[in-house]
Amino acid sequence: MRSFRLADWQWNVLGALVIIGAWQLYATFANPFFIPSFTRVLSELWTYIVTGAIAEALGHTFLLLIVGLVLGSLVGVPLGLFLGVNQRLGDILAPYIQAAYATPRIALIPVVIIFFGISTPGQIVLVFLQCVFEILIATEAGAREVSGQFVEVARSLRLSRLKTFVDVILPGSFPYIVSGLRLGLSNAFIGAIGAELFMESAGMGELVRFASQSFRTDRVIAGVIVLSLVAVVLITGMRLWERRVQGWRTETFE
Amino acid sequence: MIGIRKVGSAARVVDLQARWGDRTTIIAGQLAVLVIWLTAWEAVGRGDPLLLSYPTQVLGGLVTMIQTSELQGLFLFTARTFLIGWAIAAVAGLVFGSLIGAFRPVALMFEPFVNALYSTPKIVLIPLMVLWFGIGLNAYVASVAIGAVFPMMIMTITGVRNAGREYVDVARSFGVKGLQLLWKVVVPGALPFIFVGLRLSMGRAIGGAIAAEFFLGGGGIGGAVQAAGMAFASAQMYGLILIIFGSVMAVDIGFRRLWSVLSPVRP
Repeated sequence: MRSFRLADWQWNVLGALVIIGAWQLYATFANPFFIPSFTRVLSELWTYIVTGAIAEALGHTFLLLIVGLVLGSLVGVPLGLFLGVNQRLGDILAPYIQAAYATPRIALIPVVIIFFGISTPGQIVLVFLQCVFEILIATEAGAREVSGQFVEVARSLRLSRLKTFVDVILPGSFPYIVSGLRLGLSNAFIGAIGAELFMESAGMGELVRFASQSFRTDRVIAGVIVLSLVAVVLITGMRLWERRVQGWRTETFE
Repeated sequence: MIGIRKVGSAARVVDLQARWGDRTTIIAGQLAVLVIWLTAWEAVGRGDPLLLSYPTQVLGGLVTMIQTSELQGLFLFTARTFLIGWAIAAVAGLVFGSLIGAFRPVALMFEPFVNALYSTPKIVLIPLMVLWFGIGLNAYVASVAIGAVFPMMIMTITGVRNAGREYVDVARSFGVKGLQLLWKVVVPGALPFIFVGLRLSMGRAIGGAIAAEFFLGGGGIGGAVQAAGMAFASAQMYGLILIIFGSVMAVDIGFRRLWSVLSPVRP
């Protein structure tokens, strides 16, 4: 008798079926207010898609995400490189940067509101704060590592400071910068949704908040599913990019 | 021989001196940054106390809040939701993470969903938690736990796999098996990752606690920060934010210390 064996993809499908099946079965007994059925959620999702509500909401969320992330990189990468090369200064500022990195920046929302208002500009500032330290710290770690390893070689080749920076430190730090961008992206995503929930209602945050305030659990879950899918696509894309530029370097930041 | 040793120790002394000098410069620099920052804030803030406030005013606000024991109440509220939610997340993350890490079929079935939810900004689940648990303590705790459970799970999965891959085969070939294998090989191998998981989930848990207080509009330090911001009570707002930052730093540093004491791998 052959033993019971499944291929990997069959296990994947089985997992999805178990989760969806259990959900659907449970929903037939449960109060639909708390647990709407899977098919109910799908139909709400479809309505959201055909009415263009999702596209419109994602448009605002992506605006915050992209502008915030670009600003975060424009500040985080140069500053990280600077502190990574000037290590004494980096050591001095390290505890302050670590402190900002370790703390939940969501707590700064009231401060951001006072200085930048509750609408899109203020929301972009929050997304910026949410990702800039991740990018800065990863870049600084990269520049430090590369300066330690290769700068002696560059000096013995009599490269100028500028040329060392452009030809050695910048390309050497690049994989770390991509790691920082990946971490920054997931954090920026949290910041964008947080901004839309707690500042001026807009985008996906507004969509979910409105659904929850009108007690439509099915619509809330539909919104969560959209966000999960978007997050998976974005983060997987970043991971692939990261793996590509990293080559031999296997350690990753978490 | 003696000459060489002398040269060696002299070099070491010089090296130590240099490093000691480095250390002092860095600490002096760090203090200088702090002093410059506080002085600048005090100077600029006195010109615009409504928005910027200034350190002495912030400190005064905190002292008043401690005297009226308002701060203690806020702190205890947030600390309670944080600790309960974090504990739930740690246990759940450990259990499910171990199952996924140890059994390949379980991983193939459920890991894609764990990864997807790990990437999703959990802040968006707070409205759902409110629908499910109402607006009482349970909703706060659930928001904390749902945010903190995924980093814990991911790190446990990584840890169990890491321990399995590298040492289990070796241990098996020496005849170690069963509970002994688990306790002597898998657990110590996974422990560093589990500690990182606890630390990462701690950060998420505090973020979740604050976000839940923002969403539910009250309770704890996050709610008080929001209320102070709306009332333009800047001194109070900055004071409370500094309390949040200080507490997070304290727990984070305490955790790193604890790990350096408990670590099975001695450096």
